[in-house]
Amino acid sequence: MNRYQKLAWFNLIVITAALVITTAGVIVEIRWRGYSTIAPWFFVVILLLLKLKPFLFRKPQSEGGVVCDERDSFITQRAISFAYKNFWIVFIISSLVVHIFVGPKNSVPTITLPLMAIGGALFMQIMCSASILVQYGWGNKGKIL
Amino acid sequence: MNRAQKIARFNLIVILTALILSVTAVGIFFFAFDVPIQGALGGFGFMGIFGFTGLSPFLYKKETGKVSFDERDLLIQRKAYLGAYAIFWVLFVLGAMIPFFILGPKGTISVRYLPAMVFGGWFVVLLIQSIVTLEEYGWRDKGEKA
Repeated sequence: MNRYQKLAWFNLIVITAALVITTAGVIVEIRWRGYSTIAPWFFVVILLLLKLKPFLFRKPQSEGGVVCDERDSFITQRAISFAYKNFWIVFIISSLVVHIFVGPKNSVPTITLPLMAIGGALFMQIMCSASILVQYGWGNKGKIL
Repeated sequence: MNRAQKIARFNLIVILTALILSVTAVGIFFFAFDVPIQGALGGFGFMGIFGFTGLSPFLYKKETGKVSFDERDLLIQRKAYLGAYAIFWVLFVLGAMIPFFILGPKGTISVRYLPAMVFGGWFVVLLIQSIVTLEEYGWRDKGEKA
């Protein structure tokens, strides 16, 4: 499994764990106290693990060591453009759906906007990682770059 | 000039025309006719001209029986695309965070802001994509053919 595959797996696992643990936490907290204030912080804390990527998956340090070749950059560029295309579709649909359901003369809370940005970033990360894994293959095929 | 250059040039002309006319109209309404800013912003109706960018693939059709796209074109197209989305992403995050900080977490914002973000994002993406494409190929005709 090469470095890009490991990074993609790490992204998918962390984001899925954040979503699942936070949802479970919110449900438990609401059943227990009737409201939820602690569980949403799980989401932030777990997502902070994504910041560890540069330390967990270091680039090869040996002199003359090849980090990536044309195929790798082609695959990552394709993954990014795939993620952007899908993000754009979801962005347009979600904006219009909110506009239609809320009504053109009404307002939405300002917190909607940062949530959109965070949701968009996570969606992009999921799409990009999934696309990388689809292109390289989900499992280990003996690639070591 | 090849097809991608012609499309980029056409898009850029349309985008800049729409932007210049809109800003001029808003300025004239607000300063010359003393129209309140809410009304003067109606000058942005000229942004509708931007819709003409959708005509570019029909105006500059692919030539049948000829190779119109090689690896270099693909690389340039991808570079333009990624450059445009990188800048869009920064502006998208700023557009999401600035109202949140100005109005506060308990404030509200008109739902019209969301489609405006989509439209603004599309505008930025197309503008940057056209500029990067022309910057990569060259702004003038250098004998480039499809």
